[in-house]
Amino acid sequence: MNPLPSAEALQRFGGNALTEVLLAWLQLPATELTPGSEPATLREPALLITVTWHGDTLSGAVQLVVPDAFANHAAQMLLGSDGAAPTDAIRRDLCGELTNLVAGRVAADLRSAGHRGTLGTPTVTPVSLPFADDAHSPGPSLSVWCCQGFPIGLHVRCQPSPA
Amino acid sequence: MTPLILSVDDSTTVRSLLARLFRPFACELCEASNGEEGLAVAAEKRPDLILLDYNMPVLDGIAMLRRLREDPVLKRTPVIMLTAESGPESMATVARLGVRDYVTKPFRDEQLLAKVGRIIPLIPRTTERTSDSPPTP
Repeated sequence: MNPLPSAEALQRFGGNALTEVLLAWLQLPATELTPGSEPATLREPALLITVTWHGDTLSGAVQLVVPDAFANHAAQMLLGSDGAAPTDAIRRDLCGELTNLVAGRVAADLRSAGHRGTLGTPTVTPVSLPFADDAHSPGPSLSVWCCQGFPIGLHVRCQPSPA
Repeated sequence: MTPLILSVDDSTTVRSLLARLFRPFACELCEASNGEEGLAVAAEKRPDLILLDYNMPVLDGIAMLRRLREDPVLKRTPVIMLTAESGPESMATVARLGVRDYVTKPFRDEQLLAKVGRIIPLIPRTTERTSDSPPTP
C-alpha cells in the first residue's frame, strides 16, 4: 500500500492547485501568507466550501474559506454583473466550482501518488470568522493565501479509508 | 440548420460562461444541471454536440455517457467532456466511453472553441448568411 501523504504534502498539493486555478481561471496570482502577516486574518462574512474525496485507501476533503468580498470580485470578473452585486446563489456556485477545480487537481496529485479516488460535489456553508468554537472549523492546519488583497483559507485533509 | 449544443454542468457559473462563449456564433445552446436532466433534454432536443461535466450530483458525467451510448437514437451524439480532474486515468476512462475530446477545467476559451469547431461549424453571427441575403456585389 502506498504511504499516507504527509500533512505537508497535502498542503503543498492544495497550495499548488489553488494558485494554478486562480491564475488559469481568474488570471489572479496568489501567495501564501505566513502567520502574523497582513491581511492574514480571515474576515466574515465568508463561505466554507467542502469537496470530499473517497478512495479505496484514502478518504478526505479539500476545503476553502472564501470571503464574500472575494466571491463578489471573482463573479464580476468572470460574469460581468453590470455593477450589480452578485447574488448569494452566484457567490455560492462560483465558490463551489472554484473548490471543485482545486479538488480535481489535488485528486490528480493523489492519484499520481498511488491513491485513486472519486470527488464528491461541493457543499457550501456560510461561516462566522474567526473559527473559535465553530463546529465547521477546518482546524489548525488551515493555510491562508492572499489573492488581490483578499485572504483565502485552504485545508486539505485525508485519512485511511475504513476497511 | 443552426447547430444545437447541450451544456450539462451543475455549476450555473460554468453554464453562464459557456453561454457567453458561444453567443457570438450561429449556434443554439440548451442546458441541463445534471446527467439525468441532460438525458431528458438530449432525448427531446437531439443536440449536435454535448458538453458534459465529469463530476455532477444525481447522475454524473460518466453515468450519463454510459446511458447515452446505450440509447439507439442518441448513441452517436458527439460528446466533449469537461473535467476538473486532469489525471491520465480519468482521460482513459472517458476515452473508452467514446468521447470525441475532453477539456480540463478551467478551460481556455480558444481551446474549447477549437475542439468544438472540429465537430460542428462555428460561424460568427455577424457573417451569418441566409438564403434570401442579397448577393455580394
